[in-house]
Amino acid sequence: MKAGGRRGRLFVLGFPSLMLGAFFLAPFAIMVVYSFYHRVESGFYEPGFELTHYRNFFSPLFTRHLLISIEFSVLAAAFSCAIALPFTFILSRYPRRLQVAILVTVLSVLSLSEVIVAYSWSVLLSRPAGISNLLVAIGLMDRPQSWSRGYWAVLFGLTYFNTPFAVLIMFPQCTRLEREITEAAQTMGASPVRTFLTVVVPMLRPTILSAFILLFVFTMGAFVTPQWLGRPEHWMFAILIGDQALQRGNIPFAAALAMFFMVVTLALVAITVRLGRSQEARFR
Amino acid sequence: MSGLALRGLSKRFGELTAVEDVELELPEGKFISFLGPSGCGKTTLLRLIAGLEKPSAGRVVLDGEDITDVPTHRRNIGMVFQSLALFPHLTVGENITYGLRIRGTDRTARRARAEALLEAVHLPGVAERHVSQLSGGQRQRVAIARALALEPRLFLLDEPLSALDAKLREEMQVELRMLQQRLGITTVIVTHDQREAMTMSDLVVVMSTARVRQVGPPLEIYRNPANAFVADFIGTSNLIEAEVAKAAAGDPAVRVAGVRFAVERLPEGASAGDAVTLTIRPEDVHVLAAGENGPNRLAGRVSFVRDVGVSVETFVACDGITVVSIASPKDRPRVGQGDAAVVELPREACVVVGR
Repeated sequence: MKAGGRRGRLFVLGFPSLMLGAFFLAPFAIMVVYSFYHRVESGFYEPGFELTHYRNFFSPLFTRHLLISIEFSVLAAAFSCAIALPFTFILSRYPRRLQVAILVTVLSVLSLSEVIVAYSWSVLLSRPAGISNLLVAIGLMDRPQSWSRGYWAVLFGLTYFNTPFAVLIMFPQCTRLEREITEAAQTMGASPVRTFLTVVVPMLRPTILSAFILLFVFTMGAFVTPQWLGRPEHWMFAILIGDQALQRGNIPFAAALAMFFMVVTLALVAITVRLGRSQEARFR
Repeated sequence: MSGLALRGLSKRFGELTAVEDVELELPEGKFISFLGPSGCGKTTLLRLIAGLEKPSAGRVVLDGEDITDVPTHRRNIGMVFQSLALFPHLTVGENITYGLRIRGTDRTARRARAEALLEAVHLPGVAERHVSQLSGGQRQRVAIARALALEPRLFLLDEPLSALDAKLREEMQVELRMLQQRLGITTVIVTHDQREAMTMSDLVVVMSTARVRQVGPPLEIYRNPANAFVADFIGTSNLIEAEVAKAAAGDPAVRVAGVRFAVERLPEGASAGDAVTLTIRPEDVHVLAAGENGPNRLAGRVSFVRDVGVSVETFVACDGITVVSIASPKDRPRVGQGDAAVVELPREACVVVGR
């Protein structure tokens, strides 16, 4: 019995560290080590220690792609939150059965592969088969246009893919917001829109912030969507890393890029959290 | 006409009828209670007045103006919710002046108003604090101050005191009544506590199963319940099955267990042989020793005596009917448990209601 108890406790303590060690720390350590390896021109690498790869990415090309990655991620996360918040809040006021039906529909979007979603949008935004034909048919446009392969197509695709996640993150907190709170605002003369802006949004600030951070990190790693809907100048950082590793066989450089990318992402998350806190402090 | 009028107001939620054909005139400046057991529709009725529910039928008229289709935020009402619904992201002062901020009142005027209102609810100097730093009773006062900040035409309260302990609740009842009298604002409170309703109100509206059962000043409702439900709900009452006795005009009487009881009056339209309920307050029932027979008296046996110090309750079983009497210690009946006794139901205290 006693031995079993100890084994149980060992398992409880050991399981998370084992998982973390085997599936995160070990690969991470391998990456760190590889990022300092020496690249052999024939397309392979050998053990060594050099900072060449870390120096290489301070080129205009990589900086530009880093900036576009950050820009896309910030905007896609922000748009998704902006769409998901009113949607989820209104949804949370619906009768229970309708809520479930709508949530299941939203979730079904998540079950689609990113490839299918990106491909579908590339067709829908194209000139020969796209939505613009529909708009021409109902007389809103003069002639069909191609929207795919461009800045807005990428942003649209990323936002589309993120929004269901934002809904999922916000839903529990939205349902917890008491109906009487918004009713109280209305008895004091606030219209529904005013109530949403002055009561619902401030009360859900922590939820909005965590949804934003999660979607930002999530979007930073986008691979398929920018490739399908964007031009090469819209390719995000993950594509460049993949290109170095798979096309050019430069594993050490790909590892260094990945490390750098991770540091930048974490730094931005830290800044966002800090900003959120100081805002909170101002509230008190 | 000034005041609030509800005309044929009904509210159905699917199959369920929450409020059924309510017809009420609530005069301006009065304190009105909606009193009834839980689920009787009193909260729904209040929410209909606030515009938080749309009526299935009927109109809401305030000071002669039909406000049925006016949305809540344009009705100029103040409301205290059961959960209080204070905004956790704002300070006490910001909570109170939320409505003023929506209206665009400037900061200094808002601050002054918050201080004045906090003064009025006896809670000065907490404007800068956070709601989470206040006790239950203090939050209560903040919610009241907030509801009054815009000088509303109607002050509505939905069981606002139910979360407080008994002592604080009684204090708040008195305070709320005094505040209302000082401001002269038409006030409607929803409560299931008859004592609370009696303490505060000018007018009590007794409700059960979606309908209004009686409307009147508290004492009138207490003394002259319109039906058995009201008699039973407004404090403990003896409800005795009876039938209307044959009698000459001007000499109304009922029969209880074969004994004739003279009463002040009978329900309208009652004729001999009709089944009715004789109601009488326990404090009006006299318990006498066996053998002291006379008019309006019934013989029985004492089944139980509850002596709690401030009052003595005597239960007398008479031929299948139990009559309860409450007396002060100095008027204690000279009988004990198991003794034969006689109960007197004085003519002027008997109220007969239809069944």
